[in-house]
Amino acid sequence: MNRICDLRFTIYNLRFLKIVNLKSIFFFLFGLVTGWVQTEAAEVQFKTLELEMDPRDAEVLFRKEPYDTSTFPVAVVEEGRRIPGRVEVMGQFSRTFLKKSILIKFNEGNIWQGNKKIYLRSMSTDLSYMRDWLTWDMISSLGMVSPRVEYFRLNINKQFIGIFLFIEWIDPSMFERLGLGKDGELYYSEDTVFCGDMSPANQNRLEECWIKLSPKDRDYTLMRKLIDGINETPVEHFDSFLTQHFDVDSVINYLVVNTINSNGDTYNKNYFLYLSKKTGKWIVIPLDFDLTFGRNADPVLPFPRNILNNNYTYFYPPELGSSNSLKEKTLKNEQLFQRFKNRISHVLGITLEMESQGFFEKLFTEKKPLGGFAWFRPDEFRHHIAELKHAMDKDIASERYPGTKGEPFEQQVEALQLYNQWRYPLLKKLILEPTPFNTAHWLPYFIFPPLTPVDMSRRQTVPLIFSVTADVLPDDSSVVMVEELLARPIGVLDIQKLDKPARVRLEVETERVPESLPPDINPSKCIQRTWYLDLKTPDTILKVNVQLDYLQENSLHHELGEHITDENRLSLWAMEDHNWRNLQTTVNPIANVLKAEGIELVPSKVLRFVACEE
Amino acid sequence: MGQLDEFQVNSIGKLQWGFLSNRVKNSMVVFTMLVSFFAFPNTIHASAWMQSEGDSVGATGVSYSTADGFWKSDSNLLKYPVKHQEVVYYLYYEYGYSYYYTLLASTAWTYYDNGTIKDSGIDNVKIGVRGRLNIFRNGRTWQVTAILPVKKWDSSVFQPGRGKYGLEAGIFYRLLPDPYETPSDIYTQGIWGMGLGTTLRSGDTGSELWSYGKWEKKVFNPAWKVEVRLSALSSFTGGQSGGVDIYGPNDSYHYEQINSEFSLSYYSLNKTMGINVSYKRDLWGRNINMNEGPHIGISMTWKK
Repeated sequence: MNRICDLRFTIYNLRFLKIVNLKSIFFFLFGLVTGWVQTEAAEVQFKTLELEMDPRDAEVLFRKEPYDTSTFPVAVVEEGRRIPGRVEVMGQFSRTFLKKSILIKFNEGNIWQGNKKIYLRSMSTDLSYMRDWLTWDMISSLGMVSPRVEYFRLNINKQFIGIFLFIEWIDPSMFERLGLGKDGELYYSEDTVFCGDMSPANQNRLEECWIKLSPKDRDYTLMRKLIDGINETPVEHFDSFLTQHFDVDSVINYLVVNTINSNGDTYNKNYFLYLSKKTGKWIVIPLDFDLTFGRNADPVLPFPRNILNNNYTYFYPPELGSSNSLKEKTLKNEQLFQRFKNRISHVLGITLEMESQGFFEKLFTEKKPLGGFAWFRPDEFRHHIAELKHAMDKDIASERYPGTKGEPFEQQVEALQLYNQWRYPLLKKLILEPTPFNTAHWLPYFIFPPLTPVDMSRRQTVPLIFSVTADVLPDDSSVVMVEELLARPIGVLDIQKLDKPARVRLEVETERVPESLPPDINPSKCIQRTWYLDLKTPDTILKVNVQLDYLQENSLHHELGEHITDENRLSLWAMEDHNWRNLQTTVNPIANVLKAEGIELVPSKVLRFVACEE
Repeated sequence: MGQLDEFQVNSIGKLQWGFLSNRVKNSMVVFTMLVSFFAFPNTIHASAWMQSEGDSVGATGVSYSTADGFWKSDSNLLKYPVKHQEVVYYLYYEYGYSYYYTLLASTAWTYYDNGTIKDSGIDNVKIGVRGRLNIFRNGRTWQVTAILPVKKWDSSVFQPGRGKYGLEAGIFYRLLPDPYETPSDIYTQGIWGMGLGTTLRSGDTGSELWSYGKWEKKVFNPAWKVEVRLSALSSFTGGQSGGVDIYGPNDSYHYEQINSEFSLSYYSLNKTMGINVSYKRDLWGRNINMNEGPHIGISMTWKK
């Protein structure tokens, strides 16, 4: 049933985009029949890892001072076998929480499932526990070179400690396992100096910007040559350069993954480069995904609030994050940009891509669909999230040690769903669909510089008015109202009742104090946004549940009134016929989304909404 | 964040915690690790800080002190006809043997001139072990140190306990905020610390009770720190309370002392190295010299 829906959805979108390709449809249909097209990720499995430790050490490991680096004896118990080693706390920022990431190194001659080390990521800064897994899942679905990643329930001395994410140690032996040989060169963009951006400016400080992990020497010749090549190659020839020196898919996928999950915490850090001597090509592997799927760092707040904040964004364009020569030239090159768009379309589930093949493979083997198709399509994404939530639900409450403080698990999970719900239509329209004037919504690096220099010491406001008109059909379940010119979603209407096709309009005034407020409400307790919703079709009644969002991009750019203390206590007010009515409102303070149910729209009566703290 | 810590720590030999304010964090690690090692040689081994397993700290420095007089048994200050001077160059090493135990050793070369006698040589060698009073928190320690004399000093070259075997034991506190409530990277308030202990020495005299209280605070930025320390000691053997002669005190008599010390330290932002200057002055005493003088030292941490 799901697949039939998928098919309808896909063909509809192909038609809509006027890029119907009979060959693609044939392969897609064939794929459905043969099971080629895997629109759903493999079922998530939560395994259990049993450790044995001295009881005192087991307590100390998590409760000791955050930056102590001591190790303790440990044994992994598996199928009656004890595998001895030593365990230590890993990570940087996550050390400051009681639930810490840990690393087990086995004693000489001992391995566990082929690994000499076990790295268990605590995910303490992401209370959904899903951002890392989701990103790694997307990466591996797309066929990128990636470590083995699995959820584990960790028990120590048979006591449940918590849910952790096992991430295979990224070192030459991983590349050997993946058929790329272990004799290549492995580099990591040093995450403390923010200069792994491949720019000419940082060319003379490679040793500072890049840690050479393997072989452990100080010969940066090949890295220097690569970065020289990236910077010296003209944009119009960059596709040839990339084909010659890189596994092109790994670069395209790197950009696609960062676009899908809004990962700006990379491009000058948090990624590996590996030069396989077997293939003679470089590959990219990103790392560290806690600031993704809406979460982002704050440029102004002091540590640790620069990381642990209430910021949330779903609207950044694909070039988000710091500048990076590889990113810029890839997106600016026409052929590579087309490949990027095709891959985005593939991950959104709009057009299907086939696996790229070499000359002889093309002659002798059948083409296969590329993995990761429709990975981010809302139905698929919801499925991922629901499955993960189901698997974690009962264990979350019984975790021994807490991570960061924040909103409850339910709201964290809902925020991920909302991220998908709002980002999917944005990316679809922004990257793949033309404007009403038949121009592109977005092209790489078409940035309009601000008219005045941005002052990072005070709040910035850019008031805008967005207006969206949409046609709704009686059997529609939901309509995302996406603004035509900037491709910004401004609201979601879940259709509860509609007797005939209707036209509805949603207009939003952003970043300004509402002109009218309910009596006795202090403007500083309100969101600085006003929504107007009306039904344009006469003689009909439309009943909807509404989802409206507000801005909280960072501490300098947001719509929160200065005296709002708890976003959970925000509620929507609706004004109709000059009377204000308080609406039963559900808030997701992480995703900055307000929901109200059962709103009846009557033709020619405009409903005005504001949101204020009670 | 994540896997690279190990590479960074092991292959580069420095702690780097990454992300946004790493330089500040780095300075705080160094700050925390070194903070107890800058003091005058006679208190350098007294620390409330446990090393992580495999971590080492080395420190070296020199102090110069002079004494124009001494406090008699009635605490009246008697001027010496000539100035007493002492220069101490010390070496200090600490090693995190395990999470639960830190080993330490120190020695010092001393030059002494009391106007009549000049002498110099390797003074005591100290070997000790430090443990935790609270297994989850740092800054709460006990410590036992053996004092092994190396040189036989002229009897007129006096300092309490000089040339005697000894055993030192104490407890030490440094009242840092709970790291899970206020991460060490960001606290800005002043920190109180204290120590209390005893030194038992061979023979009938020279054993002491001692204590100190201190207050420290970051200044300018997280790399800089000031510290004010008030210390006291009192002998509890020897017992005689009579006066002493013109050559100064000796530990046959009961002696007591209160002294103060002010220090300023700087810890390099991305290397595990620090430098400290301090000035110490004795404020009050009985049967003991009134010393004062400066100290300068450097310290470095590294991992196994």
